[in-house]
Amino acid sequence: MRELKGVSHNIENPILGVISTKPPRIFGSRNTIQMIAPDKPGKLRSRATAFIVGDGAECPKGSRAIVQVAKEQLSFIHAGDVVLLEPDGRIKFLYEIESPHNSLLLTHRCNCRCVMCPQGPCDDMPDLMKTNYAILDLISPKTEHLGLTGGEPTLLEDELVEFIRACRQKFPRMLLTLLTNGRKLRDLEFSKNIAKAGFPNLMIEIPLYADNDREHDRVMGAAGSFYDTIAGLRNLALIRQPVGLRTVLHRLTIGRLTQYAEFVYRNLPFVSHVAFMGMETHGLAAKNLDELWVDPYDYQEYLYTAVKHLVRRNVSVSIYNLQLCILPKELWQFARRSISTWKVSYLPFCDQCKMKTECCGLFATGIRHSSFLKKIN
Amino acid sequence: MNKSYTLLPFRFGRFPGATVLVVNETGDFQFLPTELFDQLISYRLDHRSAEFLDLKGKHFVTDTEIEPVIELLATKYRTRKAFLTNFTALHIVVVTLRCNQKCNYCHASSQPQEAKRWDMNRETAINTTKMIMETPSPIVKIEFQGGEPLLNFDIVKLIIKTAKEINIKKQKDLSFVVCTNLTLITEEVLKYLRNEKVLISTSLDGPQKIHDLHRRMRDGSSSYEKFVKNLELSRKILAPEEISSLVTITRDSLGKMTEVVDEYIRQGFCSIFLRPINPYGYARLEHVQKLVDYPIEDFVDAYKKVLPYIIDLNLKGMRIEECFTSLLLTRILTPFSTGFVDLQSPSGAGISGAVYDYNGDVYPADEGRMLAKMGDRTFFMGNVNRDPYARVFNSNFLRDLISKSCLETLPGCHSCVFQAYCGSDPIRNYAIQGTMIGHRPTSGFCFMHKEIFKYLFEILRQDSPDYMDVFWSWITKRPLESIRMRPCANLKASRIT
Repeated sequence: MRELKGVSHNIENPILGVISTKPPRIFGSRNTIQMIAPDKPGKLRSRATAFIVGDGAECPKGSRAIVQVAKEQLSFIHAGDVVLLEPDGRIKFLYEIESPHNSLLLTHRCNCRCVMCPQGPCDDMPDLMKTNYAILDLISPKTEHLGLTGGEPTLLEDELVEFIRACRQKFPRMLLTLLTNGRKLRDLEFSKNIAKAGFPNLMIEIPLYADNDREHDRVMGAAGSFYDTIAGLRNLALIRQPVGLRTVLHRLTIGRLTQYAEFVYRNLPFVSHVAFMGMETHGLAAKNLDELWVDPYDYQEYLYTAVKHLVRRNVSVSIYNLQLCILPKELWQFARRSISTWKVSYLPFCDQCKMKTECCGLFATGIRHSSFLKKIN
Repeated sequence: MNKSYTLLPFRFGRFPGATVLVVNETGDFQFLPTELFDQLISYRLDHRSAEFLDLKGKHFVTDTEIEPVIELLATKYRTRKAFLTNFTALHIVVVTLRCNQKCNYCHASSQPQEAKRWDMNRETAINTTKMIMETPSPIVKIEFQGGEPLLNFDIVKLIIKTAKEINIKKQKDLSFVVCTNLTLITEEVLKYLRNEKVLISTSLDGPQKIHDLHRRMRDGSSSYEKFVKNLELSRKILAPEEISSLVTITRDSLGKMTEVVDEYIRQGFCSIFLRPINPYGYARLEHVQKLVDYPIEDFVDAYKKVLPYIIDLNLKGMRIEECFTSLLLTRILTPFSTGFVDLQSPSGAGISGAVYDYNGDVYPADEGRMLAKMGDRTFFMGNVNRDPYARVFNSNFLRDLISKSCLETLPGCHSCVFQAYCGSDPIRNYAIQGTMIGHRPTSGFCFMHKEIFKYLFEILRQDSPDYMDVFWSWITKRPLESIRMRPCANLKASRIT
């Protein structure tokens, strides 16, 4: 997630709040973090929980919680953002009002060990879900889309169902996207509960990496996961829950991509779309890079053939995380600007590329990128 | 023997070039060089090889779990056979046997225009409609045939009105088609059809010289000019997709299929259905047979010649779909269910389609009615004025008919590599071969389908991008442009292992 670094005063424990440019209006309203810019002096005796103050502006007096930041940084903070102020002065953005891809991380735990996982599983802080409920209370009622991700969110079991229900109650029409490996969805009752809680606008996104158990399980680092996920997918089809598939492109998946496409069409024709994703070379993917790396330039033909296979069959296709300069022109129409604003970076020559505004850019976190990136004239 | 994998059920057939086609119960298929096929069936195929994974991904083999693979196959099988869950959807109503034309190949054994005793009466029409609407199927299509249904149009209107009234409660997906030669159509009739959302299915055999050869008015005069004039009128009132046409291929048109296709395009049709002439009705009379019939081999040859022509027309921007090809390809290339009463397993006779004769007699298919007309009432299921729905549609006779139409149990079909895509026609077997089960080695029906399947699989094996684009535009009912992606010239084609 995006972070800014400032200097903190009087912050002993992390403070969660929603950014506002004005003092909170309602008496006793909590969790407001008031932003004060040098050219827009705020009311310093406000009831705000904390303040973010641009250098050069006057600070509230007394023992108020404050993070001071360079005044240029203020333009990256927007009223409506939900942030966490850390004692060390970091501002963590948990929800960005301007971003179309806000997600809540529900757990770090996972029942798989994917070879290219960008984050890698770990244990959760005990109050993670409490924080998520608090965020849910603070985010804008106009939010159109919210992702639920992990780790593996289904490990929360009934707690996940409860949380989806809470999302739905607060935002009756918002699109919720649940990212899960689908293994635990092989329990039909659990699938039903999730679908019911998220109705009418829940999309479940499931990674599937091969047309056979051997290769899929190897990528997932978990024996038996292929048939668990297949059973989960069948349950979702049975209850007519919309579901999308995604696969990540690397050495273990690229060679049989068309067979993968055929498998999906023949066995899972109910999926709403299939996403082909460039690999984020971070986390375990960075660690296993020698085993996994194929320059995206070198796998164009595989990708083209698989995409064409699905397009002919009227299956909706997206390509994520691949730069336009290393995609055949014919595939541009499927490429999405999939890298979140806070994660994206560009190379110096990207500024001269006429396709920059259409391109997804690169993962700032990635340790290796294609050697064939170039500007498009 | 130490087996490192398990074979799952499949059928196979040998192709030229030392190739074997394998097809499983759910229509997944793969071409294998004979050598690999031999390795496969003798458990010598290397289970780490790419070829093994291809077969595993398509559920021909498994080297790990078996049960979840069976589950996947079962789901696919259910999906492909989904047409069975609804029961009878297509209901053909013969509202009159009278016709103002006298085509010498007539399937329907038409009667002179004045002979009103061959009209369906009001009581029969209402009882027919009631019986149709009793079907458990949520989808109901009522098709008016004849004779020429426009000669008894009040009954057509009565059935449409009655069906719509019943449907207020039943809430089925209800649609209507009127099969007419168009020569009697008027603006008033067309406006009625438009308002009631009734589709037109007509007949066009080709350009005038071919069309008029067999499709004559009762007085022997040309029908073509009337047809063309009224088609023009119809197009002013109905949308292009609301008017379709069927072609009857006679020995006169067999060698001129490209002219027939051109005529279809000239008259604004976007589909054509190539099928051989049916051996029923007047077409069965010996003197007529001499005039119109031909060996089935000739039809297959003509089909193979004209299909590439049709595909090329599509590639040149003229949209025309060959419906028979597109039906078979849908079965070969997609996981979806395709009911087609004349070619499904079990047969669609009675359970997918039914025919109601002018006098209320019910038959499982038009061919059954034809046989009755010629004195053999084997396929008579009951009468709408005398018998309740259950007696007509839940009879031992119908059960017996259906049980004799499952390809899995029919000699010859049981091991045929094309079984997953084919179907049976017990009534045709009975009419031509004397038994509902039939005899495949001497069956023209079987010969034709096998030849066409072989031909289509050869095309699929060649995998020409242009052909495949056209095929998929037909299968998915989309314009060709939405499917075509320009081939990429400078693709990096490195082998990734």
